[in-house]
Amino acid sequence: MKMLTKFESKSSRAKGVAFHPKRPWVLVSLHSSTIQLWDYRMGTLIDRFEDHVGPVRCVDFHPTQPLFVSGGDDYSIKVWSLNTRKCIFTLNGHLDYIRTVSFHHDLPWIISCSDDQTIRIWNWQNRQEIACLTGHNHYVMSAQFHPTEDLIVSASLDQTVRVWDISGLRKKHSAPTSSMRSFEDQLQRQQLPQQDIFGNVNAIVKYVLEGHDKGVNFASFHPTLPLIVSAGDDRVVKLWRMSDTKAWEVDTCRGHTGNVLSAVFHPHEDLILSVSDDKTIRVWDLNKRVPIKQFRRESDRFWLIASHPTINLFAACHDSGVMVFKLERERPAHTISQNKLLYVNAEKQVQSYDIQRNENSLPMLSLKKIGKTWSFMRTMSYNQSDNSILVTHGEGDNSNYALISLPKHVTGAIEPTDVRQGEGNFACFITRNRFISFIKSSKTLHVKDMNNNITKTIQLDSSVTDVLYGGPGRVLLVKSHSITNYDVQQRKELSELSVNNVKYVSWSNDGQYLALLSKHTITIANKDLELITSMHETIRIKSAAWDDSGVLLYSTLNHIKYTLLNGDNGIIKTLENTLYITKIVQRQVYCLNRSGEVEVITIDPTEYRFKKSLVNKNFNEVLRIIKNSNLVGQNIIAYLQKKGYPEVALQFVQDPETRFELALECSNLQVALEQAKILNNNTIWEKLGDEALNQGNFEVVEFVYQQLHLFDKLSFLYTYKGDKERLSKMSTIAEHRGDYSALVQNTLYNNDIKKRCEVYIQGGMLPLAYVLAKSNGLVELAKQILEEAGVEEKDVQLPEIGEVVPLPEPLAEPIGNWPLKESSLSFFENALLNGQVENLSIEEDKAVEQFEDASASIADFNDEDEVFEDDAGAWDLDDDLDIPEDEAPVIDTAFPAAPTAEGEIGYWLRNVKTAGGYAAAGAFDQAASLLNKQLGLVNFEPLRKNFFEVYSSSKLYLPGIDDLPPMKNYIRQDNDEDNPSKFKPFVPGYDKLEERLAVGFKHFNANNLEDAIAQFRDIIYSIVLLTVEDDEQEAKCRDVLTLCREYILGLSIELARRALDPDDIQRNLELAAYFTKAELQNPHKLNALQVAMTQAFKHKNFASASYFADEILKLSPSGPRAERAQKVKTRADTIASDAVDINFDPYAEFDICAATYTPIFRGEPSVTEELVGAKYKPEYRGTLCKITGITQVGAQASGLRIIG
Amino acid sequence: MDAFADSGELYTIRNQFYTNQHHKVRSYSLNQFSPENQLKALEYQIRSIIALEDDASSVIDDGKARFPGNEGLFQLLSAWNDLKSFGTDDSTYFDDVKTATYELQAVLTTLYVVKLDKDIDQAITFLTSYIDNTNTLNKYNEIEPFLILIQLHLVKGNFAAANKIFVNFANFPDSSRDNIIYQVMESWIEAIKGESDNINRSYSLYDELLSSDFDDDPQGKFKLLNVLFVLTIQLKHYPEAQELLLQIKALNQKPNADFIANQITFDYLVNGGANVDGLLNELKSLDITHPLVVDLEEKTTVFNDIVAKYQVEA
Repeated sequence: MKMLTKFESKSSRAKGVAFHPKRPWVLVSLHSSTIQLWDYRMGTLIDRFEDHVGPVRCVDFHPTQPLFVSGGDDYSIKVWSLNTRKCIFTLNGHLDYIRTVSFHHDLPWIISCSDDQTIRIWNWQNRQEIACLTGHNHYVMSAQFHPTEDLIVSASLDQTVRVWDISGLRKKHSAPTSSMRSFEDQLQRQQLPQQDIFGNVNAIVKYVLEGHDKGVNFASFHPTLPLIVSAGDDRVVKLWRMSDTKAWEVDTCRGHTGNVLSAVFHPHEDLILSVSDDKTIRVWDLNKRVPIKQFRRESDRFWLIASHPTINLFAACHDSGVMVFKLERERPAHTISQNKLLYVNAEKQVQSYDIQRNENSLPMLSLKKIGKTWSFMRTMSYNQSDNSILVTHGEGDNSNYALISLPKHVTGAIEPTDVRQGEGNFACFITRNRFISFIKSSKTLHVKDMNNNITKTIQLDSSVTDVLYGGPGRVLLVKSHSITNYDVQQRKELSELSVNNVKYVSWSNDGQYLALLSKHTITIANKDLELITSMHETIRIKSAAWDDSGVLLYSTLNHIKYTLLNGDNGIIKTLENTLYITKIVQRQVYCLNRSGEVEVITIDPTEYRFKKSLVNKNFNEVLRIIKNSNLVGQNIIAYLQKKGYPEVALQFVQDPETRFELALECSNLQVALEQAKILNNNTIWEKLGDEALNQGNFEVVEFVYQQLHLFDKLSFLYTYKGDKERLSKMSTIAEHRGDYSALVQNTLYNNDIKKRCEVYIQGGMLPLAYVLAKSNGLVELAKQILEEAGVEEKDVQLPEIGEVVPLPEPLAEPIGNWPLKESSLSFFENALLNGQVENLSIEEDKAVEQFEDASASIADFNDEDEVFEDDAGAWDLDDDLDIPEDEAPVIDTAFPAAPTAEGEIGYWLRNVKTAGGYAAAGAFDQAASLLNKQLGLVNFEPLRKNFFEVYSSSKLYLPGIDDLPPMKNYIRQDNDEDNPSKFKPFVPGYDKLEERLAVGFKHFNANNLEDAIAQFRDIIYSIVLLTVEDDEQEAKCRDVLTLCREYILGLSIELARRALDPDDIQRNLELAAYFTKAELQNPHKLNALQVAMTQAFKHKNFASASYFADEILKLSPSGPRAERAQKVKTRADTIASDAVDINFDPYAEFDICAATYTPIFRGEPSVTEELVGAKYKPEYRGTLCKITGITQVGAQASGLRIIG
Repeated sequence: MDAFADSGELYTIRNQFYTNQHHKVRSYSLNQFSPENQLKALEYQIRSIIALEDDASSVIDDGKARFPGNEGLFQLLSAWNDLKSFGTDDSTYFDDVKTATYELQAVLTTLYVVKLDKDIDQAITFLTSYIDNTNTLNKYNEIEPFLILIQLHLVKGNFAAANKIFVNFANFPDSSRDNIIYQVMESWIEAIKGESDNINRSYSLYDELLSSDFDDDPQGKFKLLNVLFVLTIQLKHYPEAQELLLQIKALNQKPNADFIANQITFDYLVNGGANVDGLLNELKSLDITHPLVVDLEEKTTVFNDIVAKYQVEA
């Protein structure tokens, strides 16, 4: 057993501690008067509560409410709010130090005990003391409620433990007793000490447990059994049992060398934990009362131990703080082999989980007797070739491995028989017949064979602290600051990587990468130990596994997360309970929980697949995901921005503000403008204006300035664009607005002297106006100004005026947007622009159509105007056929004796029943004979390819020594079959039937009728040599045969029709009509009907045309085809007669002779072919079937039998 | 100490020889071995050189000079070298061997009988008589003849005989079974015995071997992948087989008849035999005596007879 410390606080002496029922918090009360609230998972101090005066000896969380309670040496009990983090109220009443205080599990009660020799119960809702239990005659050191019953157990320095019955108190406080008490009841109550003034009995002492020789410091109930454990100054822990009527001492656990201050039961295991001022925590076996483990601190006395209500955690108070620890690891030992997860369950039994079938096996092996009772199975390694496991267990120098064979058939947890054991802190298989064991104390690595004999001993460097699996033939040597890949065979260090305190390793499925897990760090390296990435986690890392695409999924205490090889990571799922990931298949994550059970979690891998695709620049995949998933959120947008794909992020965003920002980032002014119009906010316009200016897009700049009424900027924009027209408009606007400054500015821009002069005049600046006019040669105007000013020209002295300075002339045309280099659109923009995204589907393209939904696209075929129209000529129906009287030729059909053979072929020949089976076994004669008997098969030549295909499909050649021929190897029908009398050859083909039918339909649609016929025949041939598993499959094959028959017949009729002399109208119409009688898939049948309708209509057989039109409308009531049919029908119905008399009665039942393509009406004689059931006129008996080309018409046959 | 044991000097070279890592075997310097193991190491080296289709005469001559008193061995190796280098054995050495007197002689003579005389039955008789006449101790240490015998039985499709020999190994000491040769024969037996577990176990050996460094020995990797290709098809893991097929082709090794034969089966299974005609022609031009070619010819005759037998007038 191992004690694993999870958290330690450093403080003054801790006296009380309590776990929060849900959150990872502990409350610690200190001798210094402070109460601390710690997050033990993060190791952080959340808060401090200081209201008590003097030491606080006890604390407790409420099981459901955000409350806690504390009691101190200031005689007060304080109830605190976790929300406000303040003391809500104080309960006063005790007259001395409070020793323990705790909440009731469901009633609003608090129990406290004190050095004042009382136990008190308080109602925290009405803040009243509801009971005071007296009886102890010394300090009461502990008191607590029973977890389910109305009992209290208390411990006192008076050397007793007392059990109190408080059912009376519950009765009193749960419902007021209004009924009159009986006289006897009242009389009885008067005798009892614990009663209030109304005679209610609060609590009675049920048992007084005497046995301790000194004061008792602590007593507590077992969570489920009627047991009590107590701890005393006599240095012992005592176990007590109680029944309904009595209680007695069971046993004493001796070993502590100081006062035992506290003892509790383990919530789930049969263990007792105790602490003492001898500076030890001790663990005892509840059943045997023997010590199992002790943990010593150098200089701290322990004061209290508390257990977490649900999880495997304990907290112990000592002189310099608290420590939170767990007993034993909780990671179930496990290993993955192909699709099998082998693990050790809570009962210490080996179980296997089939990942492919999602099935858990029965327990197959018990490991209870391996190692000591409380030793934990730490690791497991599986050897497939030997079907054995290698487990390690125990701790430190007592670490051992055991090599055990697994039973071949699982029948329940059997005891292992052939256990090979040895010393080792770590052991794993490194090849199919070798394993290694590492002994930490001597730093020795042993290589051993399956008989547990050492074949090699390697002395490792003294700095090696652990060993992990390193791939076949290799191990990873773990040192405190590095890890080394070590080739065991060559005794050679191959590579090294600096990484601290590695605890576990997870290899990727292809063996190319490994993830090294430390407590808080994951380091990913390639197989040569070259660092790929490293990342830190604040919460402890528990496990990791790789998915098929090379993404690492890992679990922390409370999350499942992922990381890509470039270090990008994220959270996939929050966990309520810690899980250990073992394998990932698609969306399923196969985990083990701490109870040793498999949990399969379905995750959404979209986010990491998306990121991975982006990182790998697999843009098609990115687009598919964009289109098909609901990937949204700020997280992914921020990620895309960070990775430089704002244009992709744009696709996810609806919010105009974000869209605007992203559009600016990817310089997409168009989108930015649209969003700015929506937002219509000055800041946004300004940003857009700046960006547009940067890009030299004057149109947008102009639009923005207009929106913002930035007239000056607009004017300047027009000036440098050379847009005179707009500039003059700006002058007009400025004038209109009365903005003279702007107007002057505009006149400067467009050199409109006259206007400027006018402005000056209007503004009363006549001298300026005059000078301007004068200096620019506007003599008339100058004169007028002078007049207006009432001065003479001579009164004005001007410097010498030179020539008028002409302003540079703008270009003839105003300049447009800056000619920017045409930027190529990114992959995404392209895809999004040309709508490619729309066509992308996350589903795999279906390679073939299911034949049930034969394609409706029959464009090639239904263009009957071109294809079917050139029929003419006469068809001479020869009614005087010579009907041969001969019977079919007699064939020697005695079944040939099966050849004798050895080995696999021998088994096959004994076990097969079908022609396909015989062909696969190489017994062609038997196969042929069977087919002849069953189906009247006489023409084998077309089956040549099928025979050889079936035969070859189960033969392999295993290369051995180079200079010798290969060894014969075989493919069996069922590789899981181990009974030789059921060994059969693998006969392929059934799975491909639909695919092949689809090819036939494709030919049909493409109007390749000969090819379609050949394809359907080919399907018939393959069915002849199939072997199927059951009736259902056989029935399906029969259906396919019928379908093939109908298509071959129908298409042959159509081909015959097309080959007719164009003048043979009657036969043409008959064949067209017979074609409609073939049982084709509906879309195909429509073709036949349309041909018939068109031909009938064309040749004025209006009644028939109307009938075919009706049939079309039945199958396809709407659409262009229906419209056309409707039109024909309407037209045909007006005449409703046939011009050419044909041998076709649409309402009569008939078969079509597959040789003559004429009707065989019901009651007329006919012969049948056995394989596909084709009908013939009697005269065709004994001939080769036109449909199959391989069977004889009318042959005596027993029928198709292909179930193997 | 046993030189072939895990910690022995010859452990690695033997493993490499029997897993076709011939370049590695060849590259050793004899001085890396203790004097008593040098001759055996040289024997592996010479066989590796010959397996790589190089002429080993000078190495054999050097060996003769370095290890006097082993003329018989070098004569044998020389004859084997001639046979492989020139296609014939001028010295009629192998024809003269009526009964083998030591392991390598038995092994190489058997190979000769199969290769030149095409007489597997005679080879089996020859080898069986050698094994029967070998004393028990040698038998335990020298198991290559068993390997060949097992293959010969399996070539003939006689699993029962092969398995009988293999099962008998249970009576051998553990050390005999702790040997790459044993593992190889075990893998054959398991593969041909069939059933998923057995095939998977067989697969695991080659999969494990694949993790060795084959950079210098592509021919060794080619062989391994070929075996894996067969086992993967046997397990009906077609996508994985396809992947292996690409890997094998990428190695660009010289054409191999067994590989083509297995590709034919695979093509039937996944492509409906679309490429079979081409593959079969390739196989015929490479090795007209390959068992598949012979078998198909036999079957063609049978089938022709069937066609003729049942034929009726159309």
